[in-house]
Amino acid sequence: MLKVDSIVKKFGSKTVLNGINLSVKQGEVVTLIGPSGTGKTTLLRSINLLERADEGSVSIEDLTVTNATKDKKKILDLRRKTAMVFQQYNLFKNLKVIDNIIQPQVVVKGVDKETARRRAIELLHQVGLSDFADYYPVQLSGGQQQRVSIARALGLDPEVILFDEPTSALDPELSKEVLNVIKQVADTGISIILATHEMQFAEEISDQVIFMEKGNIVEQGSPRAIFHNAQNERTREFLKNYQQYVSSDEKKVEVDKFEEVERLKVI
Amino acid sequence: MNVNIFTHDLRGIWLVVPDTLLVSVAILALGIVLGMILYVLQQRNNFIIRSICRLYVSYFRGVPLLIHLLIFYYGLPVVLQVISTAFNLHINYEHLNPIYAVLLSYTMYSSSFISEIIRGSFMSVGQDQIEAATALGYSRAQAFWKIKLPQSLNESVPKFLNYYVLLIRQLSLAFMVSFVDIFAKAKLESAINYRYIESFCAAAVVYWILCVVLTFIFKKYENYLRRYEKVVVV
Ligand SMILES: Nc1ncnc2c1ncn2[C@@H]1O[C@H](COP(=O)(O)OP(=O)(O)OP(=O)(O)O)[C@@H](O)[C@H]1O
Ligand SMILES: [Mg+2]
Repeated sequence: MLKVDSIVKKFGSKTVLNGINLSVKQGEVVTLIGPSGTGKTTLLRSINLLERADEGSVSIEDLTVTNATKDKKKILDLRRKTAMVFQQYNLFKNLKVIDNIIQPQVVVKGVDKETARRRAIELLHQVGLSDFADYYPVQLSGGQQQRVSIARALGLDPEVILFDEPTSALDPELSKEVLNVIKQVADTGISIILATHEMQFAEEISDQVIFMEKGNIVEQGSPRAIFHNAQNERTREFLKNYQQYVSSDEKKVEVDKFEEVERLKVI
Repeated sequence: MNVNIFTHDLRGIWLVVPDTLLVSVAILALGIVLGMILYVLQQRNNFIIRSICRLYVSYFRGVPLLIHLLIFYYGLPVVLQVISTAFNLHINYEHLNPIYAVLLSYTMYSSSFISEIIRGSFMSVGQDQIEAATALGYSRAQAFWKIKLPQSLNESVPKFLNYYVLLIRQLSLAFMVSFVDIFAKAKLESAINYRYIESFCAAAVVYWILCVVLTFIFKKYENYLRRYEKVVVV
């Protein structure tokens, strides 16, 4: 359904994506993992054409946009088959939660406002935020904002939702609520491409895991194959280091908590 | 200080308040239109257009408002004379209402500041907001009208209103071309009976009340516009 064909993306003289191929079937969940600075974000942004690739093409169903495509309408049409969920949520800050979900439907799909509102109410219910319709984004926690941004994406009925580290700005408690919502979304049969550092979640949810490094796909396969039976030395090393990195990170959180408690005592 | 003279002057000065407010509104409105044009031209990638804009801004900012006012006051009839003889029109340029010089000079002067307010307010709209709209499939025009413009207006409108309060006070210079605002009225009142202190105190009171009241209202409005930026404990 979605096909990425030999995408090359350069920033100046730096090659960030070095000929990436990728295909995603209807309803499939694909996760991108790999070290920081590897090009996961750039790949997602190239797929919905926020970044234009220097070479290669992106197709969704019968619509193909190559690096040479100039036709604005075509670009917009392809983009409208995708929706993006950002690391920093990027909700429209001047709109209430409900209007964040209504407006894109009206603007992008031309749905009438009443229908869009009914849909928005449904979606808010689905992500567990029915009580927050009339709040402004700043009044919500990060996890709640991210759930709204997922509802906003769902309102557009995209063929595929692109998630760029949707939980990495959140602490573990809040991550969990967002991950649960993503899981729900996956169960509805919508295709997902997800860049993440949450390995456990990636393993649970994915149909296909892609390990990237320095703009290349090093290895791809089922979650089982990647997480428990990686063929490539680099993949194994990354996963091993990653485990260490995560556990030292958890320690750091503990220390922070301790300091916080100490500080409160002083006050 | 004579209280009777003071209240008499106060009453006289109140009469010109509507005109002062109205002329300030006109200047602000025209200044926003011209400032918008200036902003759009400055965004162009044309070197010549941008240089002209820069020259315009540096001239109107670098020279005191009073000088602009006088140049327009004495220059406008001359220009009109040239035009009317050149095109054989019958313009009465000798007894020109000073309001034209006031509007022109104040508008052009203001536009050089207002274009900066507009620029700043557009720049204050986060790239993340535009990117979210784009990623969801808004066209460039839709992202502008639905996201960028509303957010930047919430930023610029309070600044325009502040500028308005400033304009009301700046209009006192216009007595130089015999335009009657609050200050000019106070001068006229005092010229009748040589009671300067009463009439200027009356002018001060009027300015002060206007300023306090308008600032209060505008602040409330600004808080309303920016309501989404505050964390309201619910
Ligand atoms: N707009 C840009 N201009 C120049 N370089 C960029 C730009 N965007 C990304 N890069 C570079 O491209 C490389 C890939 O970045 P990218 O954000 O895609 O990595 P990532 O895999 O998403 O990393 P992370 O896990 O930290 O999010 C990085 O080296 C980054 O510095
Ligand atoms: Mg990234």
